[in-house]
Amino acid sequence: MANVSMAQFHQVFFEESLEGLDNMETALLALDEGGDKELVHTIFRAAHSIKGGAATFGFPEMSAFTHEAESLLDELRDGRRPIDKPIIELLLRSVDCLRGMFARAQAGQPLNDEAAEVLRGELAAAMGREAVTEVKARRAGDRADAWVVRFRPHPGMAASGNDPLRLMRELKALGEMKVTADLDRLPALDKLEASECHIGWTIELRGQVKRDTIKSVFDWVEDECDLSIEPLHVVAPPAAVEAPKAPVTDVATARAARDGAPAASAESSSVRVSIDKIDSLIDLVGELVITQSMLDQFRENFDIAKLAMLQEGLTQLARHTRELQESVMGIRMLPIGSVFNRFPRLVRDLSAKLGKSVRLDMHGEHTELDKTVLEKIGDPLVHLVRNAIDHGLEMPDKRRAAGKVEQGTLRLEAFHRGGSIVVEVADDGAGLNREAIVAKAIQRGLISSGEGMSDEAVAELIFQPGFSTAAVTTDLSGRGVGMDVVRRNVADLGGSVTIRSTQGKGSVFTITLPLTLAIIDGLSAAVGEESYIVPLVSIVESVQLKAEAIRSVGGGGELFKFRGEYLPVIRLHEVFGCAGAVRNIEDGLMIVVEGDGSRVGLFVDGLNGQQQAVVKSLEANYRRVQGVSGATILADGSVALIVDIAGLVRMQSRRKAA
Amino acid sequence: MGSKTSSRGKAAEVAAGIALPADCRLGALDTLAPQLREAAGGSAATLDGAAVEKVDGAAMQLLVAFRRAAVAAGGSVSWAGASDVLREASSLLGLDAELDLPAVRPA
Amino acid sequence: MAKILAVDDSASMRGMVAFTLRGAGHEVSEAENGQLALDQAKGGKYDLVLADVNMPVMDGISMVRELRTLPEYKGVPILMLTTESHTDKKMEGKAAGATGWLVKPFDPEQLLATVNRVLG
Repeated sequence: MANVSMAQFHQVFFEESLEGLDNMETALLALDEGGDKELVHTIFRAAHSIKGGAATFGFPEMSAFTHEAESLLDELRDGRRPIDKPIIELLLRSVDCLRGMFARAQAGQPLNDEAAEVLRGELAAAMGREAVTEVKARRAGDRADAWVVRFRPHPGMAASGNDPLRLMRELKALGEMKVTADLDRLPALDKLEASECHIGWTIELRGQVKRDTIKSVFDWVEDECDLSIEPLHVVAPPAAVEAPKAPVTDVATARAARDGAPAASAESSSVRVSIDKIDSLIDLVGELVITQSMLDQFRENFDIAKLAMLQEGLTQLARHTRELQESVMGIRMLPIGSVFNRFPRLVRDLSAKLGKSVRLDMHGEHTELDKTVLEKIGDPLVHLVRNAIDHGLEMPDKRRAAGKVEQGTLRLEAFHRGGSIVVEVADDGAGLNREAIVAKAIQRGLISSGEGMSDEAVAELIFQPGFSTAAVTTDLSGRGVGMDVVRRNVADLGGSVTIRSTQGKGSVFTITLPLTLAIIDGLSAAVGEESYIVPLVSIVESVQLKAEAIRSVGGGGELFKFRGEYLPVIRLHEVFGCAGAVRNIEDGLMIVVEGDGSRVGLFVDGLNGQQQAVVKSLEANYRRVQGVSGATILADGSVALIVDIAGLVRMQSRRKAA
Repeated sequence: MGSKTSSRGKAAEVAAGIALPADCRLGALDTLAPQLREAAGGSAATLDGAAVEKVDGAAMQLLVAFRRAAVAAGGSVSWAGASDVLREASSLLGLDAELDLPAVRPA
Repeated sequence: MAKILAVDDSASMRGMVAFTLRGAGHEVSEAENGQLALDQAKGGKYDLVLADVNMPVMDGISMVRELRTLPEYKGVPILMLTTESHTDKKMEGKAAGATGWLVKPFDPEQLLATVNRVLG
């Protein structure tokens, strides 16, 4: 039973350990910058916790690895070893190594890899010895069939919670016992301090017991008593002295424990919620209950005189429901700091590798984001930061030549703007090189000439698939992932990416994200007998068009002119096969939307109005459907699909390409 | 039985009766010890240990000291009752002879 | 059944300890550092306190020292949850007034055996 029940704490262990590793890393980086030596304690504590947990929850390799790191930290803590760059570097690598182990543990894979073993050796070598392989030899205890135990507690023994009576009871369990109390030192009643022990005992214990077994009874009080354990009769050891029972190492038992546990699911996610948030939820529910009971009175005996009260109650109900909704959404909200945390390290490693000097300036770490958004925003951000250091910021000599300070600044900032979260990655580097971009775009066949293109339009080019600007593709950013992927990833989260760049001054990438993915503001549009929700953030405008505004192009496509630009028409009834929908352009409505960096017109019958939609996953309840990001339930109980604008735009451009 | 007919006005010897608490361990001794010290001055004390559910070495030690003190003062100590827990403790600590608990619990 | 206070800054450790002991019928309260444990201990008398050594805010050893100054915790068993590598911590804990220790890693059976041992 024990092993199975243990598994339920694995996830908690993983989460707190990963958090601990983040803290270790932050503290190590701070130490690296000459931070307070007290930080070592924080680091030590994190390592110590991970070690203890790993051993308890059946991850001996992790425990053994952390043991080495912990020992090293212990030496640093005591000042036996100076804290220098190589040591910090080594510990940082250990943090990475442990992260890898956790990832493998979560995926149910073997924990150790070669790198881990090598690093473990390095840690040990840093302490001037070989890595410890924990195998404990068991010392065979003396054997006898009867013992005399002389035991005299020091006066303070009982106060520490070691009751002599308990010890006697434990001894009794080992064999037959004859006890003689020695009361010679017992003070007179009026002199006796009740919590002090003043009795000694001589115990004759008969039974096949090892000395160590008897001794173990007194384990905790070794220093708090006088103890002697003498055999009453010595017995010859049996011929084969209990062939050391296949040395059960800690490792083996622990592994067995783990194997017995159900495979941990790789990503059963959970959220840590602050008590404050929970408390406010409970308060709100309390108020909701009060409102409900107030409204309840009207069920039995309602007369028109109470109408005002009823209205008041309903208003309260609406307010509480809205507040409750906000609070519940708030539970999914986590500070972006957990994502930002990885950047000091990344920036440090990257700038060192490139020989650039970079100062990282982070703001708004406490800005909260939906957990799902948070989990997915990391990669795009990493890409932008890499890009900024790799391509944006110049080498020190170049900066000096341009009259700038040698150290470049990378600003990472998150803040609220309207109903969105904005994350900016800004650098004070060279800015986009218009000529290089235009040349590349021409070479790639994206444009025929840069003539007459606005700077914005040129900057947009870098978001085109397959575009890469660096003169030399380094191994840092040139990983075949371009800005187009960044934009698409962000678009998948319902957000957008834009760039502002000034040549010679630097670039700012702005990611705008919805506050939450669970609720969206949308416009409900009628198509035939069905309703579709179009996310408000993507809507540019709705227009009613004359038939002649539409131009047919080859392959059955249609275009219409909107602010001097020809936009493709997507007829929703065609995409989703809705019966009885309006077909005549003049009878319906064109909703101009923007997604994945381009605009299209969605043709619908008409609009039902604006509303908040609680997003239900279609994938979880049915399957993934192209052009649809989810479903929602309308006030009348019917289901409406939520249109995935970026998806539709991609479908459209594929059709165009075909 | 001692002084059935006392010529003096007051009973000279007040028989002290002390009931030991259910939880008779270190935490309870700050209350119990003063009671015992007072009772040790009388000539005949009766201890009731029937209710004792938990006891520890410190309490047993105190009882021994009490008995010794009472006897030294020329008094006597008798038991109105002793729980199994109390008897077990006495035996484990080798204090049977010293405490002289009743062999079986009175009905 | 006993009232037990489990003190550890690691939620997984605490959870494991509490879960195991509750399963054995004990009433378990949890605290995530020594200071919180101390506040809690003052509020209600516990029959046993299990405490981690390394904790933020107030470590286990300081907590034991503080607890032992309270008259109602005289003689109450307090066990330190410590690791093999910290023999000195065991002694430091003992000096502060701890009853004994339980060496990490331990499994639920070992935990129960030790708890039963001190509760008698």
